[in-house]
Amino acid sequence: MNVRPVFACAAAGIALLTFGATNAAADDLSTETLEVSPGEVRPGDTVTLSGTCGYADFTVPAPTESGALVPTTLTGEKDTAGVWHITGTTTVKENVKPGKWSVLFECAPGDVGVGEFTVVAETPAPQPAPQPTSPTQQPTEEQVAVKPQGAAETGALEEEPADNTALLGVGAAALLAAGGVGVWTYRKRAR
Amino acid sequence: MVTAAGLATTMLLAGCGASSQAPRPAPATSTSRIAQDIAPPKEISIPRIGASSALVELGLNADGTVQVPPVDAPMQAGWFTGAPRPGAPGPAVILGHVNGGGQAGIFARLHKLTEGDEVLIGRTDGTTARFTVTRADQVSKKHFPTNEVYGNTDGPELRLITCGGSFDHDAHSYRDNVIIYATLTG
Repeated sequence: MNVRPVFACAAAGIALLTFGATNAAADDLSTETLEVSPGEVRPGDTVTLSGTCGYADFTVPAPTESGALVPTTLTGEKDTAGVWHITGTTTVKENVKPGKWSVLFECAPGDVGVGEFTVVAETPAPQPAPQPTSPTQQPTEEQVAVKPQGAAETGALEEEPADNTALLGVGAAALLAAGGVGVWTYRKRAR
Repeated sequence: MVTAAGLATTMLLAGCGASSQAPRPAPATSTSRIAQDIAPPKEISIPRIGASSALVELGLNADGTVQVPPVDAPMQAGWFTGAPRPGAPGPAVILGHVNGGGQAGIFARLHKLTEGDEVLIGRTDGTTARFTVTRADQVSKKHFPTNEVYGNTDGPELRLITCGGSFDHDAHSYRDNVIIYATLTG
Protein backbone atom coordinates (compact mmCIF):
# COMPACT_ATOMS: atom_id res chain seq x y z
CA MET A 1 0.00 0.00 0.00
CA ASN A 2 1.25 3.46 -0.82
CA VAL A 3 0.91 5.27 2.49
CA ARG A 4 2.84 8.49 1.88
CA PRO A 5 0.43 10.14 -0.54
CA VAL A 6 -2.45 9.55 1.82
CA PHE A 7 -0.49 11.02 4.76
CA ALA A 8 0.60 14.01 2.82
CA CYS A 9 -2.91 14.86 1.72
CA ALA A 10 -4.50 14.20 5.06
CA ALA A 11 -4.59 17.78 6.17
CA ALA A 12 -6.64 18.73 3.15
CA GLY A 13 -9.16 16.00 3.61
CA ILE A 14 -9.61 15.50 7.29
CA ALA A 15 -13.34 14.95 7.12
CA LEU A 16 -13.00 12.35 4.42
CA LEU A 17 -10.21 10.56 6.25
CA THR A 18 -12.10 10.70 9.51
CA PHE A 19 -14.92 8.97 7.75
CA GLY A 20 -12.44 6.35 6.55
CA ALA A 21 -11.00 6.00 10.04
CA THR A 22 -14.40 5.22 11.43
CA ASN A 23 -14.74 2.41 8.99
CA ALA A 24 -11.24 1.17 9.71
CA ALA A 25 -11.86 1.24 13.47
CA ALA A 26 -14.75 -1.06 13.01
CA ASP A 27 -12.52 -3.46 11.16
CA ASP A 28 -9.24 -3.61 13.14
CA LEU A 29 -9.52 -1.45 16.28
CA SER A 30 -7.47 1.32 14.68
CA THR A 31 -9.33 3.86 16.77
CA GLU A 32 -7.22 6.96 17.12
CA THR A 33 -7.34 10.18 19.07
CA LEU A 34 -5.06 13.16 19.36
CA GLU A 35 -5.37 16.08 21.75
CA VAL A 36 -3.42 19.29 21.90
CA SER A 37 -2.77 20.99 25.20
CA PRO A 38 -3.26 23.83 25.67
CA GLY A 39 -5.91 24.29 23.06
CA GLU A 40 -5.14 27.96 22.63
CA VAL A 41 -1.57 28.89 21.88
CA ARG A 42 0.63 31.67 20.60
CA PRO A 43 3.58 31.48 18.27
CA GLY A 44 6.55 30.00 20.10
CA ASP A 45 4.48 28.28 22.78
CA THR A 46 5.21 24.70 23.80
CA VAL A 47 2.36 22.26 23.34
CA THR A 48 1.83 18.70 24.49
CA LEU A 49 0.32 16.12 22.20
CA SER A 50 -1.33 12.99 23.56
CA GLY A 51 -3.37 10.38 21.78
CA THR A 52 -4.24 6.76 21.20
CA CYS A 53 -4.08 4.35 18.35
CA GLY A 54 -5.60 0.90 18.32
CA TYR A 55 -4.05 -0.32 15.12
CA ALA A 56 -2.26 -3.56 15.74
CA ASP A 57 0.70 -2.77 13.54
CA PHE A 58 1.16 0.79 14.75
CA THR A 59 4.78 1.62 15.48
CA VAL A 60 6.53 4.36 17.38
CA PRO A 61 8.00 6.90 17.01
CA ALA A 62 5.19 8.26 14.88
CA PRO A 63 5.83 11.55 13.08
CA THR A 64 3.35 14.37 13.30
CA GLU A 65 2.37 16.84 10.65
CA SER A 66 0.95 20.32 11.10
CA GLY A 67 1.13 23.63 9.37
CA ALA A 68 1.45 25.41 12.69
CA LEU A 69 3.63 23.11 14.79
CA VAL A 70 7.26 22.20 14.51
CA PRO A 71 7.34 18.52 13.37
CA THR A 72 7.93 16.01 16.17
CA THR A 73 7.37 12.35 16.92
CA LEU A 74 4.97 10.61 19.23
CA THR A 75 6.11 7.76 21.44
CA GLY A 76 4.37 5.56 23.97
CA GLU A 77 3.34 2.09 24.97
CA LYS A 78 0.66 -0.35 24.09
CA ASP A 79 -1.71 -1.37 26.87
CA THR A 80 -3.02 -4.83 27.51
CA ALA A 81 -5.99 -4.17 25.26
CA GLY A 82 -3.66 -3.52 22.36
CA VAL A 83 -4.17 0.26 22.27
CA TRP A 84 -1.19 2.53 21.96
CA HIS A 85 -1.02 5.54 24.32
CA ILE A 86 1.31 8.04 22.74
CA THR A 87 2.62 11.49 23.67
CA GLY A 88 5.00 14.11 22.40
CA THR A 89 5.91 17.77 22.77
CA THR A 90 6.64 20.44 20.27
CA THR A 91 6.35 24.18 19.77
CA VAL A 92 4.17 26.48 17.76
CA LYS A 93 5.99 27.84 14.74
CA GLU A 94 6.91 31.49 14.70
CA ASN A 95 5.00 33.82 12.41
CA VAL A 96 1.97 31.53 12.32
CA LYS A 97 -1.20 33.34 11.44
CA PRO A 98 -3.89 33.32 14.11
CA GLY A 99 -6.74 30.90 13.55
CA LYS A 100 -7.74 27.27 13.87
CA TRP A 101 -5.08 24.70 13.03
CA SER A 102 -4.74 20.93 13.19
CA VAL A 103 -2.02 18.35 13.83
CA LEU A 104 -2.19 14.71 12.79
CA PHE A 105 -0.37 11.44 12.92
CA GLU A 106 -0.88 8.30 10.94
CA CYS A 107 -2.38 5.57 13.12
CA ALA A 108 -2.97 3.07 10.36
CA PRO A 109 -2.56 3.18 6.64
CA GLY A 110 -5.10 5.71 5.44
CA ASP A 111 -6.17 6.36 9.01
CA VAL A 112 -4.96 9.46 10.91
CA GLY A 113 -5.48 10.87 14.32
CA VAL A 114 -6.25 14.59 14.29
CA GLY A 115 -6.02 17.17 17.00
CA GLU A 116 -7.15 20.77 16.72
CA PHE A 117 -6.00 23.89 18.41
CA THR A 118 -6.25 27.65 18.02
CA VAL A 119 -3.42 30.06 17.47
CA VAL A 120 -4.06 33.54 18.82
CA ALA A 121 -2.22 36.67 17.92
CA GLU A 122 1.06 37.18 19.68
CA THR A 123 0.73 39.68 22.44
CA PRO A 124 2.74 42.79 21.57
CA ALA A 125 5.67 43.35 23.83
CA PRO A 126 4.63 45.79 26.48
CA GLN A 127 5.85 49.24 25.58
CA PRO A 128 7.54 51.18 28.29
CA ALA A 129 5.25 53.80 29.64
CA PRO A 130 6.14 57.24 28.44
CA GLN A 131 8.37 58.86 30.95
CA PRO A 132 7.58 62.36 32.01
CA THR A 133 10.12 64.59 30.37
CA SER A 134 12.33 66.35 32.81
CA PRO A 135 13.24 69.95 32.14
CA THR A 136 16.75 68.99 31.11
CA GLN A 137 15.42 66.58 28.50
CA GLN A 138 13.13 68.98 26.73
CA PRO A 139 14.06 69.92 23.20
CA THR A 140 16.39 72.84 23.27
CA GLU A 141 14.56 76.07 22.65
CA GLU A 142 16.30 78.37 20.26
CA GLN A 143 17.35 81.50 22.10
CA VAL A 144 17.20 83.36 18.80
CA ALA A 145 13.99 82.05 17.29
CA VAL A 146 14.75 83.25 13.76
CA LYS A 147 18.38 83.72 12.96
CA PRO A 148 19.12 86.54 10.53
CA GLN A 149 20.38 85.53 7.14
CA GLY A 150 23.96 86.27 6.26
CA ALA A 151 26.15 89.13 7.32
CA ALA A 152 25.37 92.58 8.67
CA GLU A 153 25.77 95.57 6.36
CA THR A 154 27.20 97.96 8.89
CA GLY A 155 29.31 100.30 6.87
CA ALA A 156 29.44 102.53 3.83
CA LEU A 157 32.63 103.86 2.35
CA GLU A 158 33.08 107.56 2.81
CA GLU A 159 33.75 108.15 -0.86
CA GLU A 160 33.83 106.02 -3.92
CA PRO A 161 35.88 106.72 -7.04
CA ALA A 162 32.85 106.91 -9.32
CA ASP A 163 31.11 109.20 -6.90
CA ASN A 164 34.24 111.34 -6.54
CA THR A 165 34.05 112.13 -10.22
CA ALA A 166 30.55 113.40 -9.83
CA LEU A 167 31.47 115.38 -6.75
CA LEU A 168 34.50 116.85 -8.50
CA GLY A 169 32.21 117.94 -11.31
CA VAL A 170 30.00 119.73 -8.84
CA GLY A 171 33.03 121.42 -7.31
CA ALA A 172 34.37 122.44 -10.71
CA ALA A 173 31.03 123.98 -11.65
CA ALA A 174 31.01 125.90 -8.40
CA LEU A 175 34.52 127.17 -9.03
CA LEU A 176 33.63 128.21 -12.57
CA ALA A 177 30.55 130.02 -11.32
CA ALA A 178 32.58 131.78 -8.63
CA GLY A 179 35.19 132.75 -11.18
CA GLY A 180 32.54 134.11 -13.50
CA VAL A 181 31.05 136.19 -10.73
CA GLY A 182 34.53 137.51 -9.90
CA VAL A 183 35.24 138.50 -13.51
CA TRP A 184 31.83 140.14 -13.83
CA THR A 185 32.42 142.10 -10.59
CA TYR A 186 35.92 143.14 -11.70
CA ARG A 187 34.66 144.38 -15.05
CA LYS A 188 31.77 146.21 -13.44
CA ARG A 189 34.15 148.02 -11.09
CA ALA A 190 36.51 148.79 -13.96
CA ARG A 191 33.68 150.63 -15.73
CA MET B 1 25.84 117.80 -11.94
CA VAL B 2 23.71 118.22 -8.84
CA THR B 3 21.53 115.33 -10.01
CA ALA B 4 24.58 113.13 -10.44
CA ALA B 5 25.77 113.94 -6.96
CA GLY B 6 22.37 113.07 -5.54
CA LEU B 7 22.44 109.74 -7.36
CA ALA B 8 25.86 109.05 -5.97
CA THR B 9 24.60 109.66 -2.46
CA THR B 10 21.69 107.28 -3.03
CA MET B 11 24.10 104.60 -4.16
CA LEU B 12 26.13 105.01 -1.02
CA LEU B 13 23.09 104.52 1.17
CA ALA B 14 21.97 101.50 -0.75
CA GLY B 15 25.44 100.07 -0.52
CA CYS B 16 25.10 99.78 3.23
CA GLY B 17 21.91 97.86 2.78
CA ALA B 18 20.21 99.81 5.48
CA SER B 19 17.57 101.65 3.54
CA SER B 20 16.92 99.33 0.63
CA GLN B 21 14.90 96.77 2.54
CA ALA B 22 11.37 97.02 3.78
CA PRO B 23 11.66 96.27 7.47
CA ARG B 24 9.51 93.69 9.12
CA PRO B 25 8.97 93.05 12.79
CA ALA B 26 11.58 91.02 14.57
CA PRO B 27 10.38 87.54 15.51
CA ALA B 28 9.36 86.76 19.03
CA THR B 29 12.25 85.68 21.16
CA SER B 30 12.41 83.22 23.97
CA THR B 31 9.52 83.84 26.28
CA SER B 32 11.26 82.49 29.33
CA ARG B 33 10.52 84.30 32.51
CA ILE B 34 14.17 85.19 32.94
CA ALA B 35 14.24 86.93 29.60
CA GLN B 36 11.09 88.89 30.29
CA ASP B 37 12.26 89.95 33.70
CA ILE B 38 15.19 91.80 32.20
CA ALA B 39 14.52 95.32 31.02
CA PRO B 40 15.27 96.26 27.42
CA PRO B 41 18.64 97.82 26.72
CA LYS B 42 18.80 101.57 26.35
CA GLU B 43 22.41 102.46 25.72
CA ILE B 44 25.87 101.06 25.16
CA SER B 45 29.21 102.26 26.39
CA ILE B 46 32.61 100.86 25.52
CA PRO B 47 35.24 102.75 27.55
CA ARG B 48 38.22 101.18 25.79
CA ILE B 49 37.36 102.82 22.46
CA GLY B 50 35.39 105.74 23.77
CA ALA B 51 32.17 104.64 22.12
CA SER B 52 28.75 105.34 23.57
CA SER B 53 25.35 105.50 22.02
CA ALA B 54 21.70 105.12 22.70
CA LEU B 55 20.23 101.95 21.23
CA VAL B 56 17.48 101.72 18.65
CA GLU B 57 15.48 98.58 18.02
CA LEU B 58 16.41 96.49 15.01
CA GLY B 59 14.51 93.63 13.43
CA LEU B 60 14.77 91.75 10.20
CA ASN B 61 14.66 93.01 6.64
CA ALA B 62 12.28 91.43 4.18
CA ASP B 63 15.08 89.24 2.84
CA GLY B 64 15.83 87.88 6.29
CA THR B 65 18.98 89.88 6.89
CA VAL B 66 19.36 91.80 10.09
CA GLN B 67 18.48 95.46 10.08
CA VAL B 68 21.15 98.01 10.88
CA PRO B 69 20.89 101.55 12.23
CA PRO B 70 20.37 104.33 9.65
CA VAL B 71 23.61 104.73 7.73
CA ASP B 72 23.21 108.48 7.67
CA ALA B 73 23.40 108.42 11.46
CA PRO B 74 26.53 106.30 11.78
CA MET B 75 27.05 107.09 15.43
CA GLN B 76 23.80 105.34 16.27
CA ALA B 77 23.95 101.75 17.54
CA GLY B 78 21.03 99.36 17.73
CA TRP B 79 20.08 96.05 19.31
CA PHE B 80 18.48 93.16 17.52
CA THR B 81 15.15 92.53 19.22
CA GLY B 82 14.97 89.01 17.80
CA ALA B 83 17.71 87.97 20.21
CA PRO B 84 17.58 87.86 24.01
CA ARG B 85 17.91 91.10 25.89
CA PRO B 86 21.40 91.77 27.23
CA GLY B 87 21.76 89.86 30.47
CA ALA B 88 19.26 87.14 29.57
CA PRO B 89 20.53 83.69 28.67
CA GLY B 90 21.56 83.69 25.05
CA PRO B 91 23.38 85.91 22.62
CA ALA B 92 22.29 89.55 22.76
CA VAL B 93 23.26 91.30 19.55
CA ILE B 94 24.19 94.95 19.06
CA LEU B 95 25.07 96.41 15.68
CA GLY B 96 26.70 99.65 14.66
CA HIS B 97 28.32 101.15 11.59
CA VAL B 98 32.02 101.38 11.06
CA ASN B 99 31.31 104.50 9.01
CA GLY B 100 28.61 106.08 6.94
CA GLY B 101 27.53 109.35 5.45
CA GLY B 102 31.12 110.40 5.09
CA GLN B 103 32.02 110.07 8.74
CA ALA B 104 33.25 107.50 11.21
CA GLY B 105 30.68 105.26 12.83
CA ILE B 106 30.03 104.28 16.42
CA PHE B 107 31.97 101.06 15.91
CA ALA B 108 34.81 102.55 13.85
CA ARG B 109 37.30 101.25 16.39
CA LEU B 110 35.50 98.11 17.40
CA HIS B 111 38.30 96.02 15.93
CA LYS B 112 40.62 97.38 18.59
CA LEU B 113 38.78 95.58 21.38
CA THR B 114 40.62 92.66 22.90
CA GLU B 115 39.95 90.01 25.47
CA GLY B 116 39.18 91.50 28.83
CA ASP B 117 37.78 94.81 27.61
CA GLU B 118 34.47 95.87 29.08
CA VAL B 119 31.18 96.66 27.40
CA LEU B 120 28.47 98.27 29.46
CA ILE B 121 24.82 98.05 28.56
CA GLY B 122 22.43 100.41 30.31
CA ARG B 123 18.82 99.26 30.61
CA THR B 124 15.56 101.15 30.73
CA ASP B 125 15.12 100.28 34.40
CA GLY B 126 18.38 101.97 35.31
CA THR B 127 20.40 98.80 35.75
CA THR B 128 23.62 98.11 33.91
CA ALA B 129 24.88 94.86 32.51
CA ARG B 130 28.63 94.52 32.41
CA PHE B 131 30.11 92.29 29.72
CA THR B 132 33.72 91.27 29.24
CA VAL B 133 35.15 90.62 25.82
CA THR B 134 36.26 87.06 25.29
CA ARG B 135 37.04 87.08 21.60
CA ALA B 136 37.39 89.40 18.61
CA ASP B 137 36.96 88.05 15.10
CA GLN B 138 37.08 89.47 11.61
CA VAL B 139 35.31 87.18 9.18
CA SER B 140 34.36 87.26 5.53
CA LYS B 141 30.73 88.17 4.98
CA LYS B 142 30.57 85.25 2.60
CA HIS B 143 31.17 82.94 5.53
CA PHE B 144 29.32 84.72 8.28
CA PRO B 145 29.25 82.43 11.35
CA THR B 146 25.51 82.53 11.90
CA ASN B 147 25.44 79.78 14.48
CA GLU B 148 28.33 81.18 16.46
CA VAL B 149 26.74 84.60 16.56
CA TYR B 150 23.08 83.72 16.98
CA GLY B 151 23.26 80.15 18.31
CA ASN B 152 22.35 79.15 21.83
CA THR B 153 24.77 79.92 24.62
CA ASP B 154 25.08 78.54 28.12
CA GLY B 155 24.66 81.92 29.74
CA PRO B 156 24.12 85.58 28.96
CA GLU B 157 26.42 86.71 26.21
CA LEU B 158 26.80 89.67 23.91
CA ARG B 159 27.76 90.10 20.28
CA LEU B 160 28.90 93.39 18.79
CA ILE B 161 28.90 93.53 15.01
CA THR B 162 30.19 96.03 12.49
CA CYS B 163 31.84 96.03 9.09
CA GLY B 164 35.53 95.60 8.45
CA GLY B 165 38.18 94.65 5.98
CA SER B 166 38.50 96.07 2.48
CA PHE B 167 35.69 97.74 0.58
CA ASP B 168 34.13 96.01 -2.40
CA HIS B 169 33.31 98.87 -4.76
CA ASP B 170 31.22 96.67 -7.02
CA ALA B 171 29.07 95.43 -4.15
CA HIS B 172 29.19 98.79 -2.35
CA SER B 173 29.91 96.88 0.78
CA TYR B 174 32.74 95.92 3.08
CA ARG B 175 33.93 92.39 2.56
CA ASP B 176 34.18 91.45 6.24
CA ASN B 177 32.40 91.74 9.51
CA VAL B 178 34.10 92.44 12.81
CA ILE B 179 32.45 90.44 15.56
CA ILE B 180 33.12 90.86 19.26
CA TYR B 181 32.08 88.09 21.63
CA ALA B 182 31.54 88.94 25.28
CA THR B 183 30.06 87.31 28.36
CA LEU B 184 28.14 88.77 31.25
CA THR B 185 30.40 89.43 34.21
CA GLY B 186 28.41 91.84 36.26
